[in-house]
Amino acid sequence: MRLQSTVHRLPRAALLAALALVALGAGSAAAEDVIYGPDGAPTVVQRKLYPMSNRWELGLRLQTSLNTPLVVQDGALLDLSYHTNEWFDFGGELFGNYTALSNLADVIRQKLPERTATTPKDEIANTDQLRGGFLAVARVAPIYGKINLASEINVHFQTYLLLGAGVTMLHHESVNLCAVGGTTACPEGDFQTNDQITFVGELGGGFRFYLSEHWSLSAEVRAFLYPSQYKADNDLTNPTSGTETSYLGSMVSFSLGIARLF
Amino acid sequence: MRTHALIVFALAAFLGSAAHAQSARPIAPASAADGTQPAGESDDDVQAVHVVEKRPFTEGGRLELSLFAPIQVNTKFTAHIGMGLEVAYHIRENLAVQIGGLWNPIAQQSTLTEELVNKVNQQPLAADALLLQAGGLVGLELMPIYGKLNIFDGKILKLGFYLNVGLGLAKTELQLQSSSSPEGRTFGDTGIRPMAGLGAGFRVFLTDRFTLRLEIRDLVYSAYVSTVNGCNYSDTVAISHNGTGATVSSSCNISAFGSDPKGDAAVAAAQIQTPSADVVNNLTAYLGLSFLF
Repeated sequence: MRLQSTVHRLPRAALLAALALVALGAGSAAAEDVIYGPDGAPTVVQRKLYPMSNRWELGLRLQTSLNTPLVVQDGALLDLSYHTNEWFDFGGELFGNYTALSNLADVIRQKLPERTATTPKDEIANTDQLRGGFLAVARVAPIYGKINLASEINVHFQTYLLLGAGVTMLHHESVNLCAVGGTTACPEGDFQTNDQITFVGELGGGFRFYLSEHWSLSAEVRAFLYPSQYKADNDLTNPTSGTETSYLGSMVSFSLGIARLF
Repeated sequence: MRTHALIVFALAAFLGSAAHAQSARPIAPASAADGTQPAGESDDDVQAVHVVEKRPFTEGGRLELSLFAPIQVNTKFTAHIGMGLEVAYHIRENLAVQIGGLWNPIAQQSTLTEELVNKVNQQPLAADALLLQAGGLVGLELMPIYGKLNIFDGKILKLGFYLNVGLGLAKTELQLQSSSSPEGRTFGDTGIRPMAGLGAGFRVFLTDRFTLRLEIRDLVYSAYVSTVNGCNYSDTVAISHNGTGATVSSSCNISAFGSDPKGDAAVAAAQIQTPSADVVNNLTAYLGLSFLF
């Protein structure tokens, strides 16, 4: 009873401070539960320092391919999106890549076996080069968080998943099929090539780190998926031989970007 | 007096929070210039204060058992998918010693390697295609960064970013035949190699006992291969010519090449003809769940 009367005499500020201490001490018993204070507000920091709702975002990213050892694909991606709420935005993306066959592909070409008509061979797959494209993209950002560097610097971040669809310009250069008939080694620059514009889908995920209310950095991994083909059962001495075999091509890229929120 | 003592105590706890993972921030615009809210201000201002959130539990002095699903990320010439188990003792909140093991039931040549074998009769050197069958590491983990996240503005979870380093041993092998060969994939034992691991990742505390972990770890092991199934280059050449009738060194296990050893031995000979002093970098993503005792 004496304790109760003491508490009633405390100023409200002291009462809140005491409750705060209690909350600190009792926190270990309920790690993930939200505890509401006497003012009805939760006793943990839930506020988003950088709200996203109803804002436009313009971003520039630099990307490099991760899963195409036979092809080098480095480029940039420009995106513009609108955030309808805290966790969803949609927009468009435009990308362009510098592309070429890799050193490994060159080594393989240098050691290609002699061309003969006797044993049909398949073309090496996954040599497509995504030179550019445009996609409509939607992003969902379910997780907003904060990390503390050296107990001093707070870094707010967001994680997101993205899904998109569009068109891409594909350049295909075969590593092992020659465009010139015959049994001699294929001359440099005379391997089979073709270009096409085709559909592309993408899915990915990433982290956004807020620098300020208007600027953020992000790192993400995304996979571009597109219909592709390689030629099977080729007579290596005859460039017109072989049958097209379809498969789902992919380019997985890692990118770093900077974005401005308006 | 007692009231003042409480306030001072609260303020001290408030200011001392820099040592913890979180700092105090007001939910509404605060009158204080630095964004913090002294406990002695008017009631209206105080109501907006969201208190310092102390880490609700500590890992210090606790054992952690983790189960992982490691998947190789840099699958240029090889592909690995496996499982791992790790035990860590958290000496302090941010420092742990750990011992772990890894077993890759799927350790094989990548699609590209098999394409090269089948389509252009080429294959990478042993140094590039050495497979990690199993391994173990002992090391340290440092978790210098703490934070928290919320999901769709709802549930709040703690997280920590960590680095780890370890030393250990790797059980290695070479794939000798591709999946399209009549016998299917065949492998040759290349022995045990020293291995080091360097990783970075984060753990999300689902509760005070269960955590979700995602980590990228670079497993580095020696790619020097001079024997396959205990047989050196001369042995493998002899077997490729004479089969089971070959005269080989005492350490050479001909039967490990199968009942018709000529083909596998020829491949092995080609791969170990010029041993490399390189190391293999097996970049692996570890997704795991752990339990804190």
